[in-house]
Amino acid sequence: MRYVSQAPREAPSSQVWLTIGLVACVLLFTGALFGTVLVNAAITVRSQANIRLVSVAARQSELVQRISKDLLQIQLAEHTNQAPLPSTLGDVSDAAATFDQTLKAFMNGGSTTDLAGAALTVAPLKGDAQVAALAQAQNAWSPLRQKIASFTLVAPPVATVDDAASYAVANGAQISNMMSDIALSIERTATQGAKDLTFIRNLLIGLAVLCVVAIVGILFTRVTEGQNQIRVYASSLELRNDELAESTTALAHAKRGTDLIMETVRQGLLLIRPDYRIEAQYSRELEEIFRMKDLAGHNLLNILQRILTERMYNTSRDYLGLLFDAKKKERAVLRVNPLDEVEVNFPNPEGGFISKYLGFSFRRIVQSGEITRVFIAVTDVTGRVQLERQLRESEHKKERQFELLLGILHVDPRMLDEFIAGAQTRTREMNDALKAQDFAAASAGQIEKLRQRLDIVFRCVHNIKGNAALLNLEYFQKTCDTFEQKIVELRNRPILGGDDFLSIVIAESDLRADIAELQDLREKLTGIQRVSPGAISAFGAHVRAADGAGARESGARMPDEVVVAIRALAQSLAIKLEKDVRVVDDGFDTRALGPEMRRAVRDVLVQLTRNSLAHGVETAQLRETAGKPAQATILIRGLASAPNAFAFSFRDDGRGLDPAAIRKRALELGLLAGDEAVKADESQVARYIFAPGFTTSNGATTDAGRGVGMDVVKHVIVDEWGGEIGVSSDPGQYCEFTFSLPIATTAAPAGVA
Amino acid sequence: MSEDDLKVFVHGAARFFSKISPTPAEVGTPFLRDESDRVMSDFSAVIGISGNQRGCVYYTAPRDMVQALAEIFGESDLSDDICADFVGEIANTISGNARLELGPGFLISVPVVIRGRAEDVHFPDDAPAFVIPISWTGHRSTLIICLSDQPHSRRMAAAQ
Repeated sequence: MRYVSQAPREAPSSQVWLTIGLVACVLLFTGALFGTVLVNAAITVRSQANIRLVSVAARQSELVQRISKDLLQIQLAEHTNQAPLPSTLGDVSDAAATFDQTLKAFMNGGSTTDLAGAALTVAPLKGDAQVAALAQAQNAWSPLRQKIASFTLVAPPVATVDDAASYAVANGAQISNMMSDIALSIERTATQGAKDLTFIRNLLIGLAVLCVVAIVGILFTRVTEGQNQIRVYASSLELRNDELAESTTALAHAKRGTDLIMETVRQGLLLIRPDYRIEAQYSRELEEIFRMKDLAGHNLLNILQRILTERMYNTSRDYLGLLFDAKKKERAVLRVNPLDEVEVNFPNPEGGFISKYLGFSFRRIVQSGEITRVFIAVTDVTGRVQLERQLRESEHKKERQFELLLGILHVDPRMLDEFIAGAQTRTREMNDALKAQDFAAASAGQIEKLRQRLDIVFRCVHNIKGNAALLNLEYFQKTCDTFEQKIVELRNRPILGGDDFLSIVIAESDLRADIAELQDLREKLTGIQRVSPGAISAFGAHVRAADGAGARESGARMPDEVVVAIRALAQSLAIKLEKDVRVVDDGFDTRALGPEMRRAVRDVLVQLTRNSLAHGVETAQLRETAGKPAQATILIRGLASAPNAFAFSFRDDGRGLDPAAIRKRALELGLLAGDEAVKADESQVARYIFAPGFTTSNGATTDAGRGVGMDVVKHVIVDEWGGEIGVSSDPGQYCEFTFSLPIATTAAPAGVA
Repeated sequence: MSEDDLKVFVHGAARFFSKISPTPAEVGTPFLRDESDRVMSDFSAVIGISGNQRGCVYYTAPRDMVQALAEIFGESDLSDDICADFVGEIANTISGNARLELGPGFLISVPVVIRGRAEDVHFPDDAPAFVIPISWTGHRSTLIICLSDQPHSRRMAAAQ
């Protein structure tokens, strides 16, 4: 809901004019008041001056009368022969002087004295009547002035006095009246002037009163307007209040709804400011996701820094910068969101991490063209990601198992089981050898111990490889070959340390994992076989059937499966090495043996077969050149043996042992000293072929050449089973090994689980 | 899990001993931990690893070795608290070295010390545990590294 309200408005010009009028009235009032005061002051000053002037003018009349009176007294005194009083004479003289001075001042302007004797400056009287009156007064006064001018303190002559007195009597009144008229005239002029000023003053007072009235009027208008305004505002405020109340209710309702959403939404919702700080409003789930309380005000980057790898943190920091960069288009920025699905790790109080996967989505909030906030939705996608991962791993495993399946389809299940069991035994054996925990040091003895451990590992791996070759398990052959390369690399180092074995133990781990996977697949196949027996291992079954048929045709009994497998291995290697060979068995049968010994015999035959094909058997061309049949023969024979013993031989008609090459190699390896090499006979020399790492071959291949095969043979026969080995050879003709193993009746031999 | 990754932790532990003592630590032949192996000793510290690889690294040492270490530092108090502190310090050195060497694609936790022979320590099922003996002046401690490659989703792999 949207609320719109209008604020009351007024005509601004009316208010302005009122204000201007008010200011003007106040100014005018002030001016009028000031003018009134000034005019009043002028009236007062002028009145006082006029009073002095009028009094001086009036004094002229009085002076004339006093002079007349004094002249009569002097005349009387002289006529009575009394000497006139000097003071009277002085008075006449002074009065005449004063009159004269004042009259001149009236006429021409000048100074005189006032009644108090103070100096008074008088402007010349300018009125026509006044000028005329003054002229008349001057004319009337001048004769009298001349007559009394000779009066001194000494009594004047009687005639002079009489003349003056008679003139004074005759004209004194006239002069006095003239001066009275002049005084009256001055008073009238002054009164007129005062009236003018009073008029001006009254005018100003009137103006001031008018201003007051105007001010009151304006103020009243303003107050009235103000009241109206207040009423309008009050009305508006009431309206606003109503709107606000309604709005508040709506907002409270909306907030309750928002809070409810924020409380219940299963997503982390938040807003961040351009400084990446989290706004106060965010969903409760966010605290669960980030495992933090009171997130408001926290910097999102700081939170991410704690739970992301440094690389992801740096990427996230750059990305948040892009989100607030108005120059970058939002769609383009959102498209490259690196936090769309990200692993986060929370410290586990018990050690390590608690890992989760979070999905972040972003939206810009733009106000007035500026990115003021970024809205972020965070979702815990751990379940989905883990499910996806499981699916991917499952797919990957299926693909691998399918490859493995293709590689083992041809293998007889029982032989596959034996391979797995044997491989597991050998991996345990190599791990046990490493567990011996001999510590590397600079001493030769300990290095030698380490080399011995390495030889054990090598032997185990080679054994597994041989059996993989026996079953034509190419994947395991390759894995073991890679493993062996790592061992050879260590063997060639002059100094060995414990940490050099890290590559070995990693390879062992990988091999273990492969064997475990093979076992897993084998168990699944067992389930399938139960459903459809004979459907699997068709090849192996076929081989057995073929051999069985051949045996039946020839009237012989079914051949031993070990022989069948060795025959298949020999054929496979012959094809690979472009040689021609056949495997013939004669009285050889391991079926009465226990599974461990059977496996041991098989392991030995595997190594011997691989060695024969790689080193002993020549190519068909070489054989023909040497006068031999093109096809070589490997003969495996069961030998007569003592009770509780199993004896057999392995013979090939290849090139046999080369005593000279063996002697030379033994010398190189330090197995023989110079004189020993000369003295040693062929049978003594032949034993060195069983030394670990001994080979006369110049180059190693997947099949042989690393000097481990015969070590395996010796280890199995002698070390594990306590048996004996015999070697006979005719260079260029044959090589034969004979074996005798005591048959264990109570327990498995050493090193065999 | 590569040889170089394992060496980062091994060298981290060796570095601690070469810093505190003229006698360097010797690394024994590593082996894979079997279910029946009892590899935990008196004092242990666990470091969590995440990022490109995930798992944990344990360093565990017997009491006599930790006390010998403490004596080198002139510590007369050979209590369990002090021993735990020393094992934590070794784990810190390993952790710090790992942070330095493994780079920004890893997240390495602060070590947590566990006292007593914690035989019920959980090792991840989906990764092999490499046991690496580390000997110092005749005492034997053990480093156990249990890491698996992190299977990222396609999107995460692209981001990384």
